[in-house]
Amino acid sequence: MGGPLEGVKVLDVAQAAAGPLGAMLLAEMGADVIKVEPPWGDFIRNRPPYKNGVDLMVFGFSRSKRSVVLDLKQEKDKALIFELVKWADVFVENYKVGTAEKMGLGYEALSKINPRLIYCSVAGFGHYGPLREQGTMAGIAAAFAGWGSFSGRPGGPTEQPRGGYSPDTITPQYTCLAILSALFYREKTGKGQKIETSQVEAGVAFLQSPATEYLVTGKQPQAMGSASALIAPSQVFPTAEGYLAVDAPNDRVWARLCEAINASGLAQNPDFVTNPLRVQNRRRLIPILEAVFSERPAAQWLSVLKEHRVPCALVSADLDDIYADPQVQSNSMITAMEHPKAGWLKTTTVPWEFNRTPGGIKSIGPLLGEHTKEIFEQFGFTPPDTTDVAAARASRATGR
Amino acid sequence: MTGALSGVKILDLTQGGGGPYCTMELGDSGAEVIKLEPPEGDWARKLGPPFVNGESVYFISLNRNKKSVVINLKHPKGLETALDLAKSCEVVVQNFRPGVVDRLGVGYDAVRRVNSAVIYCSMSALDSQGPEASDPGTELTLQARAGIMRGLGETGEAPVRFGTDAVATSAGLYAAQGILAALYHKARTGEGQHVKTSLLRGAIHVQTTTITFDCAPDGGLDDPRKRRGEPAAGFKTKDIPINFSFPYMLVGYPADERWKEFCRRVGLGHIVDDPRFANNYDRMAHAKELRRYYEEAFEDKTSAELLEILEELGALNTQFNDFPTLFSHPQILANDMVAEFDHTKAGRMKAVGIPWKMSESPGEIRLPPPLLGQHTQEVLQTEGFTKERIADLRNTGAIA
Repeated sequence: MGGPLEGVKVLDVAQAAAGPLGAMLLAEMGADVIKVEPPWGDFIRNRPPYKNGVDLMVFGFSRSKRSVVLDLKQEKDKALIFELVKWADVFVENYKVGTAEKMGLGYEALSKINPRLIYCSVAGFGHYGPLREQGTMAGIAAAFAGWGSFSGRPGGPTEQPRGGYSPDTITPQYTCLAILSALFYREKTGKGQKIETSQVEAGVAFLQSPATEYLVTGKQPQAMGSASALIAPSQVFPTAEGYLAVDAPNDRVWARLCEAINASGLAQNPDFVTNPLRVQNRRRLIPILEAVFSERPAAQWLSVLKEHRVPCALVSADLDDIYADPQVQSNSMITAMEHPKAGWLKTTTVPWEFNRTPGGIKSIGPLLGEHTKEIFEQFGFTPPDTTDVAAARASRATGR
Repeated sequence: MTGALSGVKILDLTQGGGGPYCTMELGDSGAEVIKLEPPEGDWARKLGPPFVNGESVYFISLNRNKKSVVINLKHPKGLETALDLAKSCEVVVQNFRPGVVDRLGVGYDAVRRVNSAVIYCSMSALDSQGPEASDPGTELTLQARAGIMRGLGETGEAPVRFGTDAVATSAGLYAAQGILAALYHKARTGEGQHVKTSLLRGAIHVQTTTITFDCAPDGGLDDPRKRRGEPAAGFKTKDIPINFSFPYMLVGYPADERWKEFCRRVGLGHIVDDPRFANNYDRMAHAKELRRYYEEAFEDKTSAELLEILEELGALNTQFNDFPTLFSHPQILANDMVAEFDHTKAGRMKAVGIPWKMSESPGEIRLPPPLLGQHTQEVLQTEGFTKERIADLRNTGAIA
């Protein structure tokens, strides 16, 4: 299937979510990503949810990778990891700050073995500062990075979002970006380098606009329910049946919205004729629109507004809505893949379309150590006895 | 040291949120971003308050490291000028609705005629196929239809939006990744291509885990089908609110025992045997009631005290920061997440720093967000346009 990164080799020793997902994006652009796991598996394995006894979390963060189990206390496994370092173009780790160095896997050590290596280190709170050694998880990084300070009902309390957008899904976006620019830089200059990022740094960067507003004006952006501080109307309205999101991002759309709801008087009203005026006078504007939208069900308004090319949408209350979304379906954004034990699993397709080098999903995700034998042999090592691996796993389990 | 994309020229036709975020990331990485604006300017320039010396803070947040060239694409000489610029740009990026750039004469095919190896990136709202492909879509309507609002607000109450342009920002990140990967491929093969992404595709992709979990009979604590009655708000203490999501921090550990111990330590010993709070699922189901107990208990304790108790119990938690607390925290400052630059009209300003730190090719804020048409003369002269030609273009209204 070929992707733009065909031929790129990635050694991924990261665990859980934020680190591995960055490597997964590279895999689905065509890179060969080898995921190194300890004998007891990535931290994210062996926890719910399960389907047919198979834990599902790893499929969100480590699709399309090959998995090799290495017990880094064993000499042979340590030797193999250094062979993998020589092989790799990119190395991704997310150990607690300082840990990689103690394990002999720090940038200084690895760049001596492979000077062209692009070494990417993903921390929790950042590589510097008083909290650098603290572990973190997505909800923690989000709370610290201010993700909960500007959304919610007007009047509060402010809340942070659950679900799709989280430091787990956003940090990898920046990680992937930085690695890609390092790969490009290396093509031009021959130089490898070290990349440092973290969940909190990525979390802060993701809030670019509200954060800039605070930094420039000194004012904390306020929670506004579904409305926007910058545009009116731009919010969700209750209707006779269901909710409807309606957005008039400019004056031309505003005029079309007035036409759609049969309110030419409103279009003429001097208090509402420009966006700044609509924003300023929203306390008078919104109740008028609320009254109009309460007259018919959301589905009816949707077709009327669409005819007039006004941005609008129903509010999805359930995953079934996105499965049924005609744009999601027509553009094959969700697909199903078969897993040998778990059976059919729903997942997403890749988020970019390349017309010459498409890339794509290589596999739903590896079982723990699924490619151990293949990888040991690829590098000229005798594969381990599977009983050794099971024993290491067992001794770790009782050691807790 | 220069940025990774130093020497790469990008012709940026994008306006608004997600497109400019993408090109700003590339500008931060060292690319020369030529922002082609119509005579009335990027529509985001109008959005505010807040404004600083007449400049939209929202626009400022998304447009550093770019040069502004005003071209009227509807004027034949304007179109000619744009295509002349496109000849020497490795990358062209646009986020008009599907079909618009072709009608204007600057679509992928038109640009490829003058620059056969161009990397052309198209960002749309609802993707390229399907019955609604040419419909308008905005941050609000995408958050609604893609189910992002499911993660906020309270069941049975009005929907709430995530108060930042999450969909647009992440689409911008995916687009930047696509462009960077295409640049890498081109550096190795000489081949350009068309890269596409969309707001909807990005918003679905970040929900990969959610969608896969939906295959499990019991989706675990994060089950997307389970209704949460309680927004994820901070918990007030004597000083700074804390993030307190006890169940998540104890996955894999004896959660119930640790929760009981926590209760005893904060003066809530009397609720440890309450059947409403027996395990993680129960505690989530009765989150509203629990919140009342917690807030009463936390009232006279500092965040530091509470976080210390939680740390002793092996539960990760942190401050639930607002922006004033966040941006004065030594952790944020130590990781260079507050930057500064001089704006041409608005003076010295603070900005959000760059979250990825690269040892050989660091990112940098080289240029402030441009005034409208600030660089038309400079860019065209550098391109080899004579003073006479530029004057003629101005007089005929093809450029400004």
